[in-house]
Amino acid sequence: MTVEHADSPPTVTAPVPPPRLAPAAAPREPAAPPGPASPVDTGPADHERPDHQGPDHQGPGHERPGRQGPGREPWPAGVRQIRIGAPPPTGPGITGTGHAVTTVGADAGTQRVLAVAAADLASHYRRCGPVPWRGPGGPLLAEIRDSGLTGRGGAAFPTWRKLSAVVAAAHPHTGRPGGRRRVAPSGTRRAGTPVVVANAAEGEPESTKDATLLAAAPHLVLDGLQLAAEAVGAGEAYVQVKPGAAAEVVRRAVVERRAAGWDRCRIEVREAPATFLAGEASAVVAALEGAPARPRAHWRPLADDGLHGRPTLVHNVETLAHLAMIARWGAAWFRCVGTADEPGTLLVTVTGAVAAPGVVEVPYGTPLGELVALRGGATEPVGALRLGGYAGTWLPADVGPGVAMSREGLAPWGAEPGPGLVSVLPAGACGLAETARIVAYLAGQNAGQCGPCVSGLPQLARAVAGMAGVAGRNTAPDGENPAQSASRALRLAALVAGRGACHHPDGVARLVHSALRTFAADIRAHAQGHCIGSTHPG
Amino acid sequence: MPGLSQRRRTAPDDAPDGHPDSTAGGGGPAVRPARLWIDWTACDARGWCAELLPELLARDPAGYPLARAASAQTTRNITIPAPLASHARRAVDACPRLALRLLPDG
Repeated sequence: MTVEHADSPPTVTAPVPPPRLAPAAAPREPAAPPGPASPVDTGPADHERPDHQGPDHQGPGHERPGRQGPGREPWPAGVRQIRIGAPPPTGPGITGTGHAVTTVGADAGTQRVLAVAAADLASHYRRCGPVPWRGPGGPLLAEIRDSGLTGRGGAAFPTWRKLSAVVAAAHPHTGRPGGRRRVAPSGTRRAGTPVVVANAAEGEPESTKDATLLAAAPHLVLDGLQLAAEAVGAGEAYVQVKPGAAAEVVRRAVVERRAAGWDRCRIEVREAPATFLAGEASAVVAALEGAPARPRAHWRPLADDGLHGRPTLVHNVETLAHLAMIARWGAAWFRCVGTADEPGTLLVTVTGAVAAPGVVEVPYGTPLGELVALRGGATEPVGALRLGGYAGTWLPADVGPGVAMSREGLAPWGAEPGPGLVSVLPAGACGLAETARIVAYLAGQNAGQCGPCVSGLPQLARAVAGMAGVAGRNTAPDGENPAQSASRALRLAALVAGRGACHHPDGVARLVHSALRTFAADIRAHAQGHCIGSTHPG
Repeated sequence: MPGLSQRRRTAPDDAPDGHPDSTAGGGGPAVRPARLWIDWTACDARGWCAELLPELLARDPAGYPLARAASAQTTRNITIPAPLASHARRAVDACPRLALRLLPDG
């Protein structure tokens, strides 16, 4: 075995409150005793002490400011007590001036990550307290497993399995950090120090949830990144973020944390190119290596063979924000909203013909109609809903609003919650034309690497464009009529699906399939020489 | 085929029974259930695999390999039945683009 890195926990530095908090805590500190008698706390105040605050927070010379405070207040003045099991602060959180997000209405969904959102470190500390370090491996992993947290980047993979895959890859023979080293059998690859990446590349053009979250709660995300880094014993952490306001916010946040000594693992912020595929996990790793941000064909998972061959953990920023909350308030708290299979909340970007396009946070299982209503409702009669963005699924307007945003609720429609995106197509717009526009965009965004995708997607885009044209007007008399185009599109979609290094062609095929189902009446009308928009009369 | 050692060209049962990661063409003895993995970024539609493994692979109009099994939703991972294991290994070794790999199933 050749792991020679962070088996020993990182240097024991208690999270220092940000400097701006010092005045609040200062009046109490002179009263604190040298405290030699209590390496293990026995005082009454300890009942209020959060469970996660382990012994490493009481390094020599560090006096917890609240020890001698009045009553049972263990935290610095103004800092909210946090205990596992106790509810986190609630409330509008991110409304008001100076915040990136405004919510619509008084009850804007069940806010969690958005409710504790704080733009600067001092207010983040007041709302959330210090980073709840748990030590490498085990404890946090168990908590995350119990919470049932899944990835919020689209694939909904169980977060703890990704974490434990990286731990196992970094420590192949013990499966846990800190385990006893053994001699490696010959031929075993040397695993490197793990790397963790917060992915906010957000290639999906309609999605704004990652940027919104980062702009509103950069420190919560970075806490999650630090906790993930600690759990897997990572040596470096990266934030891969789309250029824009969010990138500036997260840069400032990293500087702020560095000044306050909050982080145990160095964080580097990198900007992602603004292409559709830049958010794919292996493309993120490629970009971090300095290569073009294109997906890679990898037969070993990134957890085994990621950045420069090292075990690599790539999590969506929203996943990390939830992780940071679970580490603070526990799995049981996390599970108290959402469905049994998919606990917790998710961020959803609502776009299209809605009064106030933007991001909402809702529990899993919320009907799509309610989601749209949270952003002010549709501004026009609804023709269809598109779920999961450009590479998503069309849902007919008559059933769409009643469908629950959960894996179970969406399965009958061949859809998945995906990256949290609901787009409203007005009844007056032609769903086929919209599909043609999207497929043309996606075909142009292919990475130019895999044959079936490179040759198949443009053909598919042409077939869908033929479907979107109305017979007799745009098509030549001997040309293909829209119904023929539709069957060609169906054939081509089946031919591209699953045949590439990434899931890009699968997503395009899914969108085309759902368009053929949802807009069947439109295709008939187009074949007969007129367009009915996306409404289904009768 | 220049560049490939004689060992790689012989019958697959002679393939080293080593750690899956240590053999270039994918690992494991041929009798174990395996799946075929295609590196689509490397594949250039030469068609040798479809020639050597016609039971599992066909070619699409552009010449790229296409899984025959209707159940195979994707051609990312094609399960190899045990009787075809040696043929699959031959196809893996013959690919001029080194785009195929046998992975242990599961």
